[in-house]
Amino acid sequence: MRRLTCLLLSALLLFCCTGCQREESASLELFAMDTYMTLSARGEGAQDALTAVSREINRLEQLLSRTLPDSDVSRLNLQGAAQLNTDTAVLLQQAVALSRQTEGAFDVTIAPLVNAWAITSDTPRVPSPQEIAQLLPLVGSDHITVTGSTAQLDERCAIDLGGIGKGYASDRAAQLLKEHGIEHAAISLGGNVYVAGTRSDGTPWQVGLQDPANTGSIALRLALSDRFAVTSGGYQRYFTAEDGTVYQHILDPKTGYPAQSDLLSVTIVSRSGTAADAYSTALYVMGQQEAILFWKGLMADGDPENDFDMILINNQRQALYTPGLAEQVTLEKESSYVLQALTA
Amino acid sequence: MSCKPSQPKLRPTLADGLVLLCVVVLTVAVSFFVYRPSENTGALTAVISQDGTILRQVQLSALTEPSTLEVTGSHTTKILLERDGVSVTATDCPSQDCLHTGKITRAGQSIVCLPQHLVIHLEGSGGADLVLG
Amino acid sequence: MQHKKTRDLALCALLTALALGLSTMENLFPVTLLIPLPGVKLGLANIVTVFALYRLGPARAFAIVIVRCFLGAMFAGNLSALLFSLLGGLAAMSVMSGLRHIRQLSIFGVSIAGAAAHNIGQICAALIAMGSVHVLGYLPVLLAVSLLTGSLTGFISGLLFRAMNHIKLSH
Repeated sequence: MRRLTCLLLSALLLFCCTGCQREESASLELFAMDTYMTLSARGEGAQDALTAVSREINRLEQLLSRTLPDSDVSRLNLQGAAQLNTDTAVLLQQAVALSRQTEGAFDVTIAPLVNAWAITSDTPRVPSPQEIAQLLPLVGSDHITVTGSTAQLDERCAIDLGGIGKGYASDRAAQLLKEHGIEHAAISLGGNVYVAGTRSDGTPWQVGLQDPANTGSIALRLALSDRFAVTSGGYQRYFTAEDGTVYQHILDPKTGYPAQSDLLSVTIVSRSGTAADAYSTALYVMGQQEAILFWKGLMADGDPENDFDMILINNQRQALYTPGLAEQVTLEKESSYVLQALTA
Repeated sequence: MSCKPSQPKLRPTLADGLVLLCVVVLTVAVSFFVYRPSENTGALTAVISQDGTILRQVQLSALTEPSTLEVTGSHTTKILLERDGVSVTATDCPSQDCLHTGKITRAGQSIVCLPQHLVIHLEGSGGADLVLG
Repeated sequence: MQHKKTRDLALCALLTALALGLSTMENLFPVTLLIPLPGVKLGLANIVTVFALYRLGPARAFAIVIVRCFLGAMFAGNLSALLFSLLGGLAAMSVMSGLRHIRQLSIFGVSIAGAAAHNIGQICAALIAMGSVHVLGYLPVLLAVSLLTGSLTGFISGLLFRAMNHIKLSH
């Protein structure tokens, strides 16, 4: 009898340990916007919040996709003018503003060139110089006008929101999470990251940065909280032509060819997902020197809304970081990069 | 007659229950030490080591498609690395335990192939929660 | 005197062979069908160890364990098998040898403790062989299973003791 009690007590002990209640946490995975996304959140109503976020992402995809025939973008590209959903209109306006701010390094009207190269499709090709010369004039934020909820495109022009869509989605996701009262979350929309609050042990989220020269390893880690982070780099998508030349997917809107510079990847950390997405592409196109000048310019313009932090990984195995990240960045062990601080 | 017992009691006793309890407590204690609770998020890294030396470390969340790895040695084992976990798909080692372990998907889990001295371990919260790129 | 020494030697040899036989036999039996976990063994050789411990004393039991492990490893043709069975067998032996003096314990308690110690010994061997801390992940599971296997071997040992009750084996 006593032995039975012993056994029962032990079983109870084991049961209690496994059943310990912890704060509600939820996670979700989905495929959207042509990429893999993971969402996770902690706090009361976490599951509902994530369901709302995933629904919003799907809704945005319906509007912003370049491939779905009914999306706002497709209709605009096809007809040259269209009535847009509020989100699309807002995003387009932001895109045009960012394009002007980066002096064309980021440009959503680059679609005709993107289509010509088709690097991210199954049939990439190298367009001839004549073809590129013909398409270049179609690129430029002057070709698009947004008034209220209508947009107009010049003839033969087209837009591609691929370089900013996920960023915008991450902004909307952050908003929804706040509306649901979620303070701790970590989401990755195909590499566009947003983290809120902290991990369950109270420490900031650890966000790893891929090594551009060695995908599959991490070069360094950022300890972030309540920030958006986006990385752009040629290593992410590229194709190798028959003659061995490698063409990466980030095109320079000024030349029509894949951007070539001393940078391997650009990571932007900011409070705006849309800006982070756009800047990461733009600064990759600009190259190290211009990128640093651009950053200094925005930091000095007196508008804290424009401030952001960044990490530039260049072809000299250096990882240049801005002062705002000094406390947050750590090199991964066995990483072959050298950290280098930038000064404002 | 010597003081040392030449025959133990043959029926279970109360003291046995104590031994039982000790083993249970030990089990629970070791579990706590070994099975550290992991975050739901977790950029998983698969660490594949043989004889104590690390052969490969792979960031599972950075994979765009599943990849396979073959480990040789006393036996040959094929490992499948996917974004959400690792599993052994084929092995010629006698006990086939590693294969029967199935797919491991959480940080702290491991697959062990004893004859080959092979350990596949998933690390998570020690490393990055998310990977940019 | 001579008589006794020869008889002792023969007895130990017999028990060693028995232990080896049990060990080989249990490897043929697919325990994983009953308990689907890697590395689970019934540990039947411990029956011999515990019998020798009580009836012949720790010195002889110790010798039987050592010889059994070496022979087993030679038959298996595998050096790491030696490490595993040696550490497991010796751990079980030491624990059971110590517990032997606690009269309140029955054969069941001793066998369970022996089985648990055996598994701990084997995990230590795995730690050394694999050089990885992660093998510890198996320990809780094996320990829980040792409750069952220990009871089983305890039961069988009990039968053995009962049968050999009236036969005087030493001194």
